[in-house]
Amino acid sequence: MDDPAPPPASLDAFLGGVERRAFRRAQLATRDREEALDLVQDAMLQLARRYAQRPAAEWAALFQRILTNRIRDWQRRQVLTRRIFFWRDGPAAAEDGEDPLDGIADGAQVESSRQLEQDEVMQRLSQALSQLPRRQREAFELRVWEGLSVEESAQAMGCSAGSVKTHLSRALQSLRADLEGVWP
Amino acid sequence: MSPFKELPEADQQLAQSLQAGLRASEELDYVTASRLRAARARAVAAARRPARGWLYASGGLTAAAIVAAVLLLQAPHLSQVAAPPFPESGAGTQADALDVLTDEVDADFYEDLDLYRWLARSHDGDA
Repeated sequence: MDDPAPPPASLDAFLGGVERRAFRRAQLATRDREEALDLVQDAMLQLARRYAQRPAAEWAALFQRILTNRIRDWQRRQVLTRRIFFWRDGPAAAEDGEDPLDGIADGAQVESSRQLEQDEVMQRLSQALSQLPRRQREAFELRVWEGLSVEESAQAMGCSAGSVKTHLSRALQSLRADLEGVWP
Repeated sequence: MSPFKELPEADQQLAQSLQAGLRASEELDYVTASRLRAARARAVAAARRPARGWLYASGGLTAAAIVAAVLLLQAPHLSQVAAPPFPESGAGTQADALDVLTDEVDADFYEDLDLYRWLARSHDGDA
């Protein structure tokens, strides 16, 4: 059993603590900054309007659930759009899209060779994550990246704790193989 | 102590290493960070705003009343132009219109149905 984190003091504090990671997750899924910002904003508003009165300890799982649903809906819409407009490139074309984990903002201006190397490693990780099956990627993002407990991850994914463990184990297996010789 | 106790030792180390790497990459440029702050402020303001369900309900009822009044006013005129196929259909149409206008189904409810199920379960579990 994981030790539960103390509940946030306010909705503002909670959202301030999760917004950057949520944006990175959404950007990883969409490969588009504007779409990612929209998804995170929608998730924040949904949580605020519907669940602000729920106990603060429940916000993390609720927010991740909402964001995960928003990302899934966005991906379904993209698939549908690509099917309908199959003759043109979709907006989520991976080859041309900016990498969601590169460009570590302000530090990028004075990149050393070490920084470039680190960016390359993160790019590889980004690619490896984007190639994972959806449920495995969700389990990894919620359990490892977000740091939710197994139970919270299960609630956010709408599945059992056992499924989370299975998906996470397979995700790590794939990532280990994909990042062999690259990840420190 | 590792936060990934459910995993084998080797996976725990990999998970911790990946977590550290991903979290180190979360720094954002000024514009993106500002827009996220603005989105957060809007969300917090939305949470503080009082529930507007009554406002929507009263708006719906007002619209229904207006439509009903228009239908009632036009009914004699319509009956002069052409006889209705069924004598009682006017009253039925008005009642149907009222039903449709006052039936407020939240489409998002269906979207998150499984989430509500989970909330209900967790609530029962707490009780």
